[in-house]
Amino acid sequence: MRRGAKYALIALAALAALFGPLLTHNSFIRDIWVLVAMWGAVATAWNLIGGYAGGLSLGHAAFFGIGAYTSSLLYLDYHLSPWLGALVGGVAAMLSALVIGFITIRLRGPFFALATLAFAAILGIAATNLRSLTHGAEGMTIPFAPSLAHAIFASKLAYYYIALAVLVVYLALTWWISVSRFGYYLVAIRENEDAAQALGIDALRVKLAATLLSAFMTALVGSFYAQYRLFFEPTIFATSLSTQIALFAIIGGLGTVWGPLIGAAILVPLANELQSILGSSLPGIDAFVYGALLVLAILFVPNGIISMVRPLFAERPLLPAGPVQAELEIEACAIEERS
Amino acid sequence: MTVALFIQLLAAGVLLGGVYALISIGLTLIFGVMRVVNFAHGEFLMVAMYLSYYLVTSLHMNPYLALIVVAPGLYLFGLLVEIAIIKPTIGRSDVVQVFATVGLSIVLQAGALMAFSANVVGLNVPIANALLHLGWLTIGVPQLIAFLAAMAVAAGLFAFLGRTDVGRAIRATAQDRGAAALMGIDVPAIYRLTFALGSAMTGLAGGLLMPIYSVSPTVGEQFVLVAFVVVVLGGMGSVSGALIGGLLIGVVETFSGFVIDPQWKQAIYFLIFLIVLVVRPAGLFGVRGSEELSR
Amino acid sequence: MSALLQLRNVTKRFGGLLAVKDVSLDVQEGEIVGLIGPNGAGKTTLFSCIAGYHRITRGSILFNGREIGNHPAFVVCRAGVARTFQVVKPFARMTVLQSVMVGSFLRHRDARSARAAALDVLARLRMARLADLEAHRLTLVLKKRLEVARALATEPRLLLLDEVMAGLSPGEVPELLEVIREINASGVTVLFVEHIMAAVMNIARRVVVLHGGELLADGTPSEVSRHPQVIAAYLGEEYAAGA
Repeated sequence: MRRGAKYALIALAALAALFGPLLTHNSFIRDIWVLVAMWGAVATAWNLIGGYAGGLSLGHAAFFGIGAYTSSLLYLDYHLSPWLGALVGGVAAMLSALVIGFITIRLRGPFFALATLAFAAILGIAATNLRSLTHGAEGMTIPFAPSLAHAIFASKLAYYYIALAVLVVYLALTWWISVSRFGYYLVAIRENEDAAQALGIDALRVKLAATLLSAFMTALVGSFYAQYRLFFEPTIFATSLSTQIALFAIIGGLGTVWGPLIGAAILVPLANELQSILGSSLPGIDAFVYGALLVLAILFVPNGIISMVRPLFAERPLLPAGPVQAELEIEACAIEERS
Repeated sequence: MTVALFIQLLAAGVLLGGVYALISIGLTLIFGVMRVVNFAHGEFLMVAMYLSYYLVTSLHMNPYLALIVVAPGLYLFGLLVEIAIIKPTIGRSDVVQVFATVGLSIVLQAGALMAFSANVVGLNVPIANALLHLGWLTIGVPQLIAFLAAMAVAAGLFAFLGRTDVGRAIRATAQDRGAAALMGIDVPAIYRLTFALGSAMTGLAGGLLMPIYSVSPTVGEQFVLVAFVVVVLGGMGSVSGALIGGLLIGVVETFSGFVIDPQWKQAIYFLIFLIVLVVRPAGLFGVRGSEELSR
Repeated sequence: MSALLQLRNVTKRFGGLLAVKDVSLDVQEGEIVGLIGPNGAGKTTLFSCIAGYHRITRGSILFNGREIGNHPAFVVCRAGVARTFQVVKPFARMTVLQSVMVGSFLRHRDARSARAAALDVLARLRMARLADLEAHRLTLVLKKRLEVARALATEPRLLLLDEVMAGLSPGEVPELLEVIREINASGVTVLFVEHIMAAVMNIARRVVVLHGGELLADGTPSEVSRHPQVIAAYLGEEYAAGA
């Protein structure tokens, strides 16, 4: 397969994405389309940090929740259109990203993950306890009053196309980053921060920029979620949500443009199917499968589905993705340049 | 605050701290030797608690006698997990290690949900509610037993690590696994042993906690967070750190629960956790810089 | 015209250990200066101080007339000082070309020109054919050359090379020496640390000797090799007896 095949595949996916939900009137199936687009977008945002920058965030639910709560509060209490509220939510998430960025500056691997976990957990507790602000454990309910200004729609199709638009923008952004200076700098920092600094890279600023961007992107989708479901609780900050996001990116392909979407596209319908078929007799079956897949994937196919498919698209090497097994054999002796 | 109240709170805090230390010792030991952060640690505790629960309710065993089954049971469980899941992650990148144990925690939690349903269950045996009165001081018997057990376990562990050959091999591996291997220490075997031992201690903790707390599939989440706070505070890899960290957190939690709304209790330890990570990530007794080098 | 790099009484203390003691030294633009000394003499520490990895305890480092001492590493690099590391720090999973592009992105913001500049550097270092090879697959010798390529891609005025010859067999040394000469000829001032005497004496126009953190000698290769203290401390008693 060559570049032509790759473009053909993308064109096909685009067609499917544009017309897929129109082929059915089943509300549940349309819901899955919306969720895939939505989670695909969030996972893509997470991937900037988790994949490219190498920061294993287990607390992205924090940004998601901040987006949801901010736009909803502004809408319910101040009648601010959620379109604007989402932007405010994005800014709020960026401010919180500054905080978490400062905390995690020198942390690596599991410690970084733990810090992000704690951060999201604190927000969850705050959301539960600050009842006067957030309605506490009862959650926030948005009355169903469809209108464009309210960003509430009667048809799932409208939500779908909005989510799709967001997803496409995020994918384009990720692609652009991966071929730009910013992307190269992120990966360089991930691979060896000292060496990166020696090449003139202000690691702190670059990481912070990536974190702020990822936070903003995630929060926007959080606001979308609030407008879609019209209800959410402090559980929106749950660790399980954060790990789910990471899971999609890992299964699909860490640090690749399409990986997170592919992961979401496969796992969301899968989990849904499992839940509906076995959910009543085996509650938790979907989580069980997620967990098992995560373990199997990370041990055997850590670079995700994309790595299994990539060799088919032989082209110029892209920026290295996730945790490739580095072979330590020295085989380059035979390839040395002799002038 | 009267002196009597202060002492009551202090006693409760210290006993709670002992429990927390017990929960955390396994976690810190495993990290210290293997540099593995077991995100499924809370679920190991949950498994131990469920095991204890069923032994007591189905076989009518005394919860403390049940420890004889629970601790070895978790030892075996830990051994299996090490071989199947942990060993393949050694030497590989952070992503692999973190998400392998995160995945495991999800599997265990969901598995428990499927097997035991979401009901919260507790032991309703006489000893669970027993109280000891020392003058005006009232303490819970199961808490006291757990505290004493924690001290005994810690002492036993120190003796084991300090005086036996195997213990020394473990300490050597913790300090420099390359050098240890060169000295003839079977590092993979030490890893298996350490992980299994850490799991056994967690098993003990679970069995001792069953009379005090109720269990449900999500109980792991609550405890693991405390365990991480204790371990980070005390210093990842330091057993004495886990002990002292546990006692400190226990006391802080008890006193803060009195002063502020108990709902915020958890948020307090997360805050402590984040502060420690910023100010002194190595904790009180930990290996300096271990939080910066992930391997 | 003042020197490109001026070290004035540079001192670096690690707790109780004085690694660099009161070192003053000038490097003129266009020179190739060798820095030699026994192991533990403080050479790499001095490099790290210049490059911004260590804070200096006392003294000042001026580059192009401006103070760079105690500035962060990335600031120093942007000012025009690039370095290689004694223990190589490759971007393991990036290809050779991508690694060098990380360097060339400093002066070329867009990917296309960064790529062209990187290819150019690789050609100059005779590594063009390795462009798409992942860095971790290179031999140590090639990894060291990649370090040089990467640093060179940032278009520095001063290049600090830390033992880039280490591990080369005698047959491989002349080629790398030629590369360094070419780099210098293109206008880059070079300050390098080396243990391979043949290389140092061959290419350096000036040699500076460090011993125990202190500057022992500073002169042409022949002057330095006749300096009695240097001979005794570093080149060896036997060499001294023979000289």
